[in-house]
Amino acid sequence: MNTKIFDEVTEIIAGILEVDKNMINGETAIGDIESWDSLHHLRIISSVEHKYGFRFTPDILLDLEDVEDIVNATEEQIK
Amino acid sequence: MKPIVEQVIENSRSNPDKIAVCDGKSAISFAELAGMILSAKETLVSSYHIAKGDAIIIAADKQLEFVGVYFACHLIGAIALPIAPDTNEKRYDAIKDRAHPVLTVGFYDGQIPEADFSEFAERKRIADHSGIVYPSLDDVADIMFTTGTTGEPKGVQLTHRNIAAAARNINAFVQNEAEDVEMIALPVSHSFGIGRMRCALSNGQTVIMLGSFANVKRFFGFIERYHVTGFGMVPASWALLKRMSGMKINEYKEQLHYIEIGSAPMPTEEKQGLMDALPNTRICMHYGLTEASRSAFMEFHECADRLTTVGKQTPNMTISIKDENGIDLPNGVEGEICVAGDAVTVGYLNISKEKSFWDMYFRTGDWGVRDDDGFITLKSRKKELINVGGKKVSPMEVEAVLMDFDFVEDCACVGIPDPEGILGEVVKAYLVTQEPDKADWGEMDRRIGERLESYKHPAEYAVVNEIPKTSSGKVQRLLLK
Repeated sequence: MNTKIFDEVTEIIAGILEVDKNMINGETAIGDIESWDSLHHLRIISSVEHKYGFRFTPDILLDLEDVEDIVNATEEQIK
Repeated sequence: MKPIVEQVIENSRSNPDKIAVCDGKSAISFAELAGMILSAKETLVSSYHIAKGDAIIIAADKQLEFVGVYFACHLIGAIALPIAPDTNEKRYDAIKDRAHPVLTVGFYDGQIPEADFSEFAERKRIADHSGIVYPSLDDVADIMFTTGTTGEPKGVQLTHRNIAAAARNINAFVQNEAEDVEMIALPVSHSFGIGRMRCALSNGQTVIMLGSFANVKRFFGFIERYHVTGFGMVPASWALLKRMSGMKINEYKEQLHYIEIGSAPMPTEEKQGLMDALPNTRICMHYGLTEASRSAFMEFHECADRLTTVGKQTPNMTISIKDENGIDLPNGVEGEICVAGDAVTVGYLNISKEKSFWDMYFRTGDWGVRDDDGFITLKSRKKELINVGGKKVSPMEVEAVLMDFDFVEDCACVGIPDPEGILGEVVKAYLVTQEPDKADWGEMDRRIGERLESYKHPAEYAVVNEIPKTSSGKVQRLLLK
């Protein structure tokens, strides 16, 4: 997992969920944190897409289960 | 009619071993759920001296113990106040001020006694139910706090009759059966989510608790694993499912018997898309309020040519379109949608019924018109609440935070269509300021920070010379839309 992207993505997630960045690790699953509901998830996805300038396709989005998945999918998109 | 808690305990006698609730990690049968409710009642009475009429704040978290504590409150005749586990401090304090709870479960309070959910995990079967005394149908069961037009939470009092009648009416329309398996991905702190839980459990159905719709992979995983046949969602959930999974839901077209949709308007093309994906599913959309349960319903396939309406009045509910003097208006004439029936609230906590009722009819504050076939079309929302993906945002609450910044001279917030087409509406803020460079979205979002839940943060800002107001100084938000 790319450390720089991991840091940037966790920062986005922590900012949107309004939680401490240290609460988030690679295994934190989508929905594990109370405020990580569908509205916040959409904001997280949009913010990641906006930051790196691409758009996830539904088949990639459907496979996302945790933070590590989001980081890896992002890394794959910007290769 | 019997209180919901009585129906749930009765289900434990007729179907003791059937799974009642599963949260994905563990599951309990109806007999174990009844045992959990009875044990939780004992703990509340013996350790916390809870008595009839006492109010208890409960963190409405999707765990088995929440279900046990919630119904234990009902069994005692105490009043449950289920609120979101991430409720902000200001709202929590406002709710406390109004309801004077004697106990909080799942929150750190520091002023009133606190209990932890772990104290209510006991689930031993208790076979003898002969000594159970059930609450009266006219006792208040829940107080649900809504976002009023002033931004101050208003407590909607719902009696056992109200919630039992609501479940009866909804089940009659949706036609869910005891064999159905319901997944609850909606928050149970809101009337829609907790209402679905009551509908399913009183009906003897198995309930599968899912954290939220956000984890779409888990959502579909649960549909597969637990053979889910029905669920409730808001239009934003469908937008999310579509965005994240395309039309994958079509793979379950034979499995899904019903879906209930509500809490926000849904574009007609979205309705049509869902109908195409699920041609054999009862897709039921309600128009409703916490105060008046589901007041109107429609099933998409049955009403395919009336998708722009909110359907007809729900079974056992009566809708009247009234003028500003409370006089019934004929079909075709626009007026205020007013609702009567035994699912309608007995009134707000500590607020006179005078302004919110015309006799037995609750005044929704929504404007609409009924046609000769009984279909009701919603015309406008008199209240200026902003509907962000089903969550109501008071413009005044957001404005109060913005006005705290010294460079903001005046402001007003309105709902605008979400440019992403996902949430229905998002908040747009109009600011009067001499320092327009500070009205940048990123900068403002950072300043607002935790003072507002993130869905209340404005998505757009605009700087204007002045905020339109009436001669009496009332902000004319509709002119900004």
